[in-house]
Amino acid sequence: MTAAVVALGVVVALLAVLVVGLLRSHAEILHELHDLRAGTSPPGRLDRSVRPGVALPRGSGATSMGADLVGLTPEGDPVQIAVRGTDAHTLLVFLSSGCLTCRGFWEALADRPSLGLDASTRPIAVTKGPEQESLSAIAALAPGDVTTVMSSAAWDDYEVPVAPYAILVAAETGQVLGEGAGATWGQVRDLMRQALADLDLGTDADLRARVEALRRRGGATGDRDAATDHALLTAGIGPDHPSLRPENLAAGERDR
Amino acid sequence: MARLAAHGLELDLPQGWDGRIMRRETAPVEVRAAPPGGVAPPPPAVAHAATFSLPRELGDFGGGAVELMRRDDLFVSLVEFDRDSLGTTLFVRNGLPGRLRPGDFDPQALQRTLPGQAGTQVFFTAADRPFCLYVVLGSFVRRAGMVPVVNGLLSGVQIT
Repeated sequence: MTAAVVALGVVVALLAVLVVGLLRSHAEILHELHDLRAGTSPPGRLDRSVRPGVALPRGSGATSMGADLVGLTPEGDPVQIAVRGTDAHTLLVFLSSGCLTCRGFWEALADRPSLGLDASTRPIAVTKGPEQESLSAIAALAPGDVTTVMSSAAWDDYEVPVAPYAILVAAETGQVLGEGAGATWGQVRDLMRQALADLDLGTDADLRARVEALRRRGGATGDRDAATDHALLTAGIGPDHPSLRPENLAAGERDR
Repeated sequence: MARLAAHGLELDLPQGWDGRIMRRETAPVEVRAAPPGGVAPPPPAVAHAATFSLPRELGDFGGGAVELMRRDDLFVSLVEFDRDSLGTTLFVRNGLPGRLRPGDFDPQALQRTLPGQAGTQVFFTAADRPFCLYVVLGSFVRRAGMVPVVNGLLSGVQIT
């Protein structure tokens, strides 16, 4: 009888330890999910924040601003292409020969008139250099009407995170106007149109300064919050906008 | 400053310039003369450099590009000729010109005459290879200020 009681006690103790472990594990998962959703990571932890579809302009201090493309053509000839001080904005489309999503982009670039880009934007396909890509594979994919450059240095200069990835570079200043990833060419085209529309709004120096300030403190508030603030600012809604202070609105406006 | 090198040509290209070095599309290998018991020489090379965006399709002497030039733009082409031109009177000059002068440029020296532009052509032999240096200035009037920029580029050219 005593042995049975002792054995039962041990089993109950083990079950208690198991339950406590499970509860702790569950709490940690909830905590991680909360951090992930907020776009923040405690010091010492891996940053798991999600990149927004359209990144904010990198600002005037970005090292990649207007970096020339230096590499090889798909035929293996050395080439340099300037993207700053040009007549047209440059849309850098970073692609690889291996990714399935890139296939759609290669096919889209092969039919330049259907790209939906006006004369103010010239597309350039950029792959990694021949040390990481196949010259013959890129030569077979390279569109006839669009310049293709093989340059691993360009991927480093522009800090490209993934393929396919597109970066729109301003003609005169070399500033990155917009960037992002998309599953289809249509998505990327729409992102770039949005970036150009933002550029029109961005002629307001004060607005640009505030957007850049938001960008700089993106690490504190998370890219998601910065992107939201950016969208509000470009819509003319700043911190002092009446709609953000319902208590200051007239009763009629508040009830609407 | 990036250094482009291929096909026995080397070129120091300043930041903000477009440039490329490639083989010219001339007669196919089987047509080019081969020495007895030897192999046909490779196609001649061409190097282009410009202060503006070079189009993908570009003639050896700037066809398709010079039409896009603004007044402050420069276009430089270094065009190699077939080896059978070697030793002819046209290519008797030895070595790449080290220094061009504003007086070398003339609106009538253009392959294609365009308003306001001026050009110069210099034929020479370097490393036993016959070449033509062809330079176009976007503005004949501003040639005094533009020619030193061209000379700076030429100082970084090597032919081997």
